[in-house]
Amino acid sequence: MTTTDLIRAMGGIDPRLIAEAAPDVRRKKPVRKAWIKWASLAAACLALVIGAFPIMDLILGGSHSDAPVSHNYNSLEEVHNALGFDTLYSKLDLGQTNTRKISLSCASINGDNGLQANLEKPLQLQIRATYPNGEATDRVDYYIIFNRDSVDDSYVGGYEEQGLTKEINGITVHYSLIQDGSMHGQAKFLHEGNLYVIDVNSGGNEYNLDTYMNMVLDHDNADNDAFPNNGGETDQSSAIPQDFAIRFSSRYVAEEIYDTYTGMIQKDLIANGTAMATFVPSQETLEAIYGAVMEYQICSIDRKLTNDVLADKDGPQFNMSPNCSYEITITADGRTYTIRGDDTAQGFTATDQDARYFVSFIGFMKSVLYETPEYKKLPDAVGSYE
Amino acid sequence: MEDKQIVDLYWARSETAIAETEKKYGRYCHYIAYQILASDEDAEEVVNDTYLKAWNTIPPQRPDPLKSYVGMISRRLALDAYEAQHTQKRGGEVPLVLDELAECISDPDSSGDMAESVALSDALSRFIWALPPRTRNIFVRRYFYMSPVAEIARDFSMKESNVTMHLHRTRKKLEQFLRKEGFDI
Repeated sequence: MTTTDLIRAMGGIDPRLIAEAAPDVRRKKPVRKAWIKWASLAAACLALVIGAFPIMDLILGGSHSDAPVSHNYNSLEEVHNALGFDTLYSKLDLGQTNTRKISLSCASINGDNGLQANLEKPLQLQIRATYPNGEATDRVDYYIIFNRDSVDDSYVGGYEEQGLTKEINGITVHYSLIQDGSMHGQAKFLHEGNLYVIDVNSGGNEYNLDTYMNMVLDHDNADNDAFPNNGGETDQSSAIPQDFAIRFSSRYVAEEIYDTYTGMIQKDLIANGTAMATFVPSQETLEAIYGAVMEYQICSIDRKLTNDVLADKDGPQFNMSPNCSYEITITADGRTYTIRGDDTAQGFTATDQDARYFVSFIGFMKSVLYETPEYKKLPDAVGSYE
Repeated sequence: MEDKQIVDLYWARSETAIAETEKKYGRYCHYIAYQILASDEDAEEVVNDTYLKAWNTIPPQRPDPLKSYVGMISRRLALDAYEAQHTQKRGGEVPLVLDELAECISDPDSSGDMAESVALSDALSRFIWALPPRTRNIFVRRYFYMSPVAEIARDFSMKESNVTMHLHRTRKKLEQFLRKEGFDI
């Protein structure tokens, strides 16, 4: 088989996979006609008006004569507990975001301590989060304006000029995609009598509004980074603990080491002993390693992964020669974990998840070590292990 | 116009089918061809050939989704064109993608066996379906659409290095999977 065979065979994969991953080629349009620009401007103005509506509503008081009362919450769980029901935002994950604000405004009632929030009459929920967008950041405000059941679809429209509506899981979403100038997008839809608004401001960078719409409405197609608790793979780029460090060691006779605690790597030169170098791992590398630690759940492995431990006494045994042993030490969030094993774990990857993850992680760490520029500069090994 | 209506036009041998296909999927096909050929002119030629190929194969085909069907045709035609010219000129994402996939292959001999090719596509589909949604979309974007890593990173709100690591891990899994499936790699 050649790589060309593989590339050709990729052309014959299930068409549904191809459709699912199709790039959004609409975003490639470099030129916008004048009327579209005017329509965009009109939509932007309307978006501003509609976006400002909750604030105006609160200022003007709507049907409530008393000023609304706002509370800030630390988590989505807290605010949903306060509300007494879940919203479509209940599964948003804010763990990967850098900043957040969760604010609930309610009509007020006169209580023992003066004006208090009447949680029976919530007016507006605002969740502010930021997400990495390449080298920049998207600021995303998720709103719910409650009890707007008298509002019909025309209210959430305003983007008809661009013709941008879509159906996601049975909900009609109206949205704007203003990619030139303001780089500001908004999606609006009605659900259970409440008006949902997703407002994305990318600070001049191109953004992907679909990502944020899917996070709320279409978990199957959502960016799984936003749902680490739903079993998806996690991109921990922003969630890496500040104290994260790792020491990875593999040993036939002498050790090969990748150690971010001390900033040291060591290469086994076999007949010529070992060579060492200092290095500073980049943040991207640390994030990738931490992502792999989480993906392969390495810190939850609590036994030695060797044939002696993994094989039944009366069952088949798996031996390797030469056999390389591994020791991984990881510190994260104030805790330190040590995981040990050897190449014989490869014999159990079909039946033991820990073994499977361990072997995958070992492969990953070896590639990290071998790709480290300082490692590449070390002398070549002489000889081999037989 | 809905895909089904366009396919019906092909079956009715109405040339409007081509105009509607171009309107709906012309840009999409051009994207695929351009990633491979790195030339607007060559890509446009492939797109035109795609319409012709669709015209000649529908009927008897009744593709669903039509988008994937014309995408697959564009890709195949673009690869043919690439292979015809690549001895002199290497451009686009193909050389990079070939280099990356070389990690999964240790036996460089091509069997040229159609049955194996179909079996390989089937195995790849099963492998990709088993991946988490985000990972599989990234994988398909890179190895079907041959989208540049930077573009994938942008579309998935990731850093390029994370995309590269993601792809690296998936290729390693693919290598193990293909071995387990009994392919000579």
